[in-house]
Amino acid sequence: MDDDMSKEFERFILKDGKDILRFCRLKAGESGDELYQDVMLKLMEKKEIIDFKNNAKSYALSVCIFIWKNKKRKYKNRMRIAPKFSFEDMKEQGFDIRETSDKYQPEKATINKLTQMEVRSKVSALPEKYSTPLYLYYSANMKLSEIAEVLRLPVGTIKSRMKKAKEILKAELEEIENDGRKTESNFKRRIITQNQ
Amino acid sequence: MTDEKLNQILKDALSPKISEEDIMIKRHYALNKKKKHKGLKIGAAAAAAVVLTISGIGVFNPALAAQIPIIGYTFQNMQDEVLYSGDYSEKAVILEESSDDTKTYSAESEGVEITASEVYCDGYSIFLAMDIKMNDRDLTNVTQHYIGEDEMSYGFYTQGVYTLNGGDEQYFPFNIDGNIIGNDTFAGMVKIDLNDKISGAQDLKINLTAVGFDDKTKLDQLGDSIDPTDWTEGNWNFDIPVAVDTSDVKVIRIDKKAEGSDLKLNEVVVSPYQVVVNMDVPMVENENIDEAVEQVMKDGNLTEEDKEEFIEAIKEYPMMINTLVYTQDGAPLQLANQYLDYAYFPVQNKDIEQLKIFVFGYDEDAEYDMQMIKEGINSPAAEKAILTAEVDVK
Repeated sequence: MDDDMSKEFERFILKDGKDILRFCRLKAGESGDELYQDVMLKLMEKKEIIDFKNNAKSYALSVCIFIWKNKKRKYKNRMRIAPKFSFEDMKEQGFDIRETSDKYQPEKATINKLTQMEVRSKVSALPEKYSTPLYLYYSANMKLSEIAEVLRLPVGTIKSRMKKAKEILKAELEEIENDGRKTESNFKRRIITQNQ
Repeated sequence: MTDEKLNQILKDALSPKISEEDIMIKRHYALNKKKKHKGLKIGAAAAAAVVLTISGIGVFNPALAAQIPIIGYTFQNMQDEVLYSGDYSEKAVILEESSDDTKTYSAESEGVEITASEVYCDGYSIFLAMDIKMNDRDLTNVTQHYIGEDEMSYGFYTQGVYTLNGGDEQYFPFNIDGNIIGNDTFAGMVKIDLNDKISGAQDLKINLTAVGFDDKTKLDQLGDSIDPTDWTEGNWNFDIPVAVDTSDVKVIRIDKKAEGSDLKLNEVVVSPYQVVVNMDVPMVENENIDEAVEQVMKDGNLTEEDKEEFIEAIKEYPMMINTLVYTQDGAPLQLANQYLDYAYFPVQNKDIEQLKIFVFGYDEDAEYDMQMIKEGINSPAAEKAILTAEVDVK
């Protein structure tokens, strides 16, 4: 019986683990792997009562969102009592500390081309109510109805939040694209001038 | 940019490749968690045992459980059950909405009705009584937590922000102590420490975005997490007038400096429900900067160009201190919160005529403060305090 459950759990990890880890990494940045492990351990503890054939992915993502919010809340609360400084703190305070050895870092930026990093940073800068549905849709491969279930919101609300999020992103990404084109054309003009 | 293109951009950026190896549960991680969890289980079991003991000897009051919360009586329902206990009936102002009132004392969202019922402010903290009524929820399993020696209180968690007179947003307190009334209502006291002295009329605006609690039947499974079903996200807004009431608030100037340090005891405030010790806590140099920088550089988390900014941010921190306060009889006051220059102690109905204050610096080899907590006011460790004062209150 226990063996059967363990196998089901393993099958669940192999089938949905990547989507869940991807969501964790995008949601929690460099704490993403830890968040994923937390979620999986929680599921493992409750494997007797979870139906891994149905709906376990939605449940896992709900747990994931909950644990992440809880961690952030605890962190904020702790910071009020005993402020301390660390790399994570610096990032929270808005310092631009780049993850030079991060294995998830995208390709090097090229002029006039939107990089994946730029897109991700724009998405993560959105209010959570907009970014979370996007992550669930694109990173965790959830359908709108499943996202509604995970976030316990009506499908209509999810649709309107995704629409709003895309509108904001579209405007911001177009701005970056236009800046890129301007930079590129200035760059070309300079080369031409130098050649002359 | 077309919608299709945006869709493709988001798909590319938000679905990076994941390896098979990465999704496996890591053994070392699971073992570490298990170790932590064991401690939590013991804690939860101990708490459960205490809850049972209290119920067993009849301290639990069934009459109280049957009480229906009425506006203006929230403090009465929980004032003996909270850390800052006392009789609030004479000091707290009842918040009653009238038809021409523009203030908001009650809000409902996601089936949770929250009502701000009474408020008192001594100029240093705001004491706010709130009822949290959760429709269709049975709150009889809300966990109790320790608020001092042999004292326990029911607890709720909140998430949100507040502003005072349109100032900067501050985090709303995370923990609320209180009592369960009936099966579906939590009567709680929120204490907002202002970390500064205020006076006159104030406009307190609160925006809560979540409320929740620990269910004692789930503690063993969840450890330090809250079950998602016990955490409700919503939107509750309040606009509350707060009038500072300084009657029965005594402010005693001390102005005493510690020898060989910039640490200074400025004043002691004794109000009906708390003692506030205000100090100038100096910043001290961080002696481990090189180590910290080396570590983050080694981890690849800091670029050369950001190094200076990083060093600037960590070069000093507030001096670490611990403040112990005793009454004229040598009874200790419990340190509830020390934040920057302010330390807060609940009065808990003690009759205060004189206060004896001992401030200890941090010494990793000799924890004199801990020794004094253990041995009491006559401990020889008292001589190791870096700053002491005797304050006549009456």
